[in-house]
Amino acid sequence: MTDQELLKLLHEDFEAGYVELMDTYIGLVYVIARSKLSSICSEQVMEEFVSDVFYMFSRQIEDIDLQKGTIKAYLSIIAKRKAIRTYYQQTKKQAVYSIEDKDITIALVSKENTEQTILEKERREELIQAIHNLGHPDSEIIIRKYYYGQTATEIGEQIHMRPKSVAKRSERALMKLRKKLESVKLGGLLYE
Amino acid sequence: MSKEIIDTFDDLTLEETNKLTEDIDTIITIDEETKERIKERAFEEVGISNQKVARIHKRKGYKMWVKVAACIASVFVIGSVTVYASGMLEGLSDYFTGEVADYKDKISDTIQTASNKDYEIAIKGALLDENQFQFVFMVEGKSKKGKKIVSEVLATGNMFSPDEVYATLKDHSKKKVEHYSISRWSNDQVQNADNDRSGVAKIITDELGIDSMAEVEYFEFYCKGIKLTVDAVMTGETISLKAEKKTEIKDVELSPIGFSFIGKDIEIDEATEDVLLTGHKIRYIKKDGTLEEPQNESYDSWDMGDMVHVVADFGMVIQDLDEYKGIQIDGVNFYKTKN
Repeated sequence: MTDQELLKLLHEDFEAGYVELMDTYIGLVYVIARSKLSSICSEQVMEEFVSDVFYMFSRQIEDIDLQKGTIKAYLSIIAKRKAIRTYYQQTKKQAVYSIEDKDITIALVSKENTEQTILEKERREELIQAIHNLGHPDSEIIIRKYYYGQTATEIGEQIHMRPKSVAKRSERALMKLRKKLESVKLGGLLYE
Repeated sequence: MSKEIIDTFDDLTLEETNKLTEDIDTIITIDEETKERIKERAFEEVGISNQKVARIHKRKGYKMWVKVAACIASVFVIGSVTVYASGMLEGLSDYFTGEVADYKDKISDTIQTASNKDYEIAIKGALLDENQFQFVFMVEGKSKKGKKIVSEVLATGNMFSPDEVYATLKDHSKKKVEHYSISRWSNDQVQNADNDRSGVAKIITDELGIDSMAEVEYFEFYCKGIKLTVDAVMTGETISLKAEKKTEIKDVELSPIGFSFIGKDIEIDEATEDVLLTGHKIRYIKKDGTLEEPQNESYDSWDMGDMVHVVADFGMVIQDLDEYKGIQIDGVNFYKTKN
């Protein structure tokens, strides 16, 4: 089912659409939750978190604009932002995102256009482009490992590669990225 | 470096997330128990009952329905085609029990295997009644490379299935099969168990938008450029059954490989052994009048407004219809109109 079809289904027959949404994306949201929260939360808390992410998404269906992002992207970013907030709440560190759940959609699409944020945006785009330029399967390995937090075994299953090969390729891909982004500043950090 | 990447990924906007992940296949699996627990809570949160979920899944044909899945990469070689006749029966015997030998003459003898240097793909058996087409299909690695890929896919638990399936009808029109259900997928029952992956799959008439499989001339299976053709030859007669009394259930049919009917779409409290996933209680009426419970049947259903079209198979058993008088559905007996 395409994103357009799924969104239409959510509007026309919410229950059927919600079932389809969960069937399709539950694994995706779970791994994002796990990547951030497994060290500090119980399995039950993580599972509750996942269902909360879907609930949050369901409350924002009217705001979903597929021109701006796929359903996968929306769910990914909701999951990630909520996971980071939960992480900081749990560890009692200063919250990076002081937003309530209902503001997450607004946070998804708007950032102040200060010079700093423009620079940061440019560097993020450079990193994304550099990762894509690695080519398949290295780019996929990097994204699965560092965005989704998947293990080498999980990645290997998805791309039909042995875990050891995944680990080796990941290592080499990082070296390539480091060289590519040498002396590029990002948020005050140097890639060296 | 990895920490910096992780921190950067944590700060992506929606558009950036979109760009980063656009080429990543979304299919990420987690264990079934965890999945079910999460779904139960999530559905409860938005007020979707278990019954409703079961109905939605049933409507989707969720139980073992799959979209046509990707096959292994292979190079199409048109030259390596062999015709199997008896191979078909052997393939069926690997999966089906019951009156297999009786249908030897009725089974199509134009089954093909096609291969290239790396793989061999075959339809090893096919059974057809007016409502469903069941087929046994196989992928086997031939070369070192092919065997390696096959064993790696086996290790992930993934299934091999055709890239595309088409049905050419007798009126020369062609229909693409978007969904088929996989009934059995096991390498326990076939030779070369560590190297091939065989399974039984099913296509029902509703998926093709036709009233009867008798409208089909042949099926075509495509797997990365390899094409296999199977004639649509009926496996025994499909018999219409008559109700002993007035009922909403209609169009009850019975064949050696399964049965079908149109019944009311029923809400179910829970799936029990006694009740099909469609909510209907089924018993077979033996020729001595005693009732027999279903065993390993699998069911597919198709929404028809307030009603559903249920198409069931006998779970890899080819029945001797002479041993049965008919079927009981929700307490109503339906009998064969002829022996």
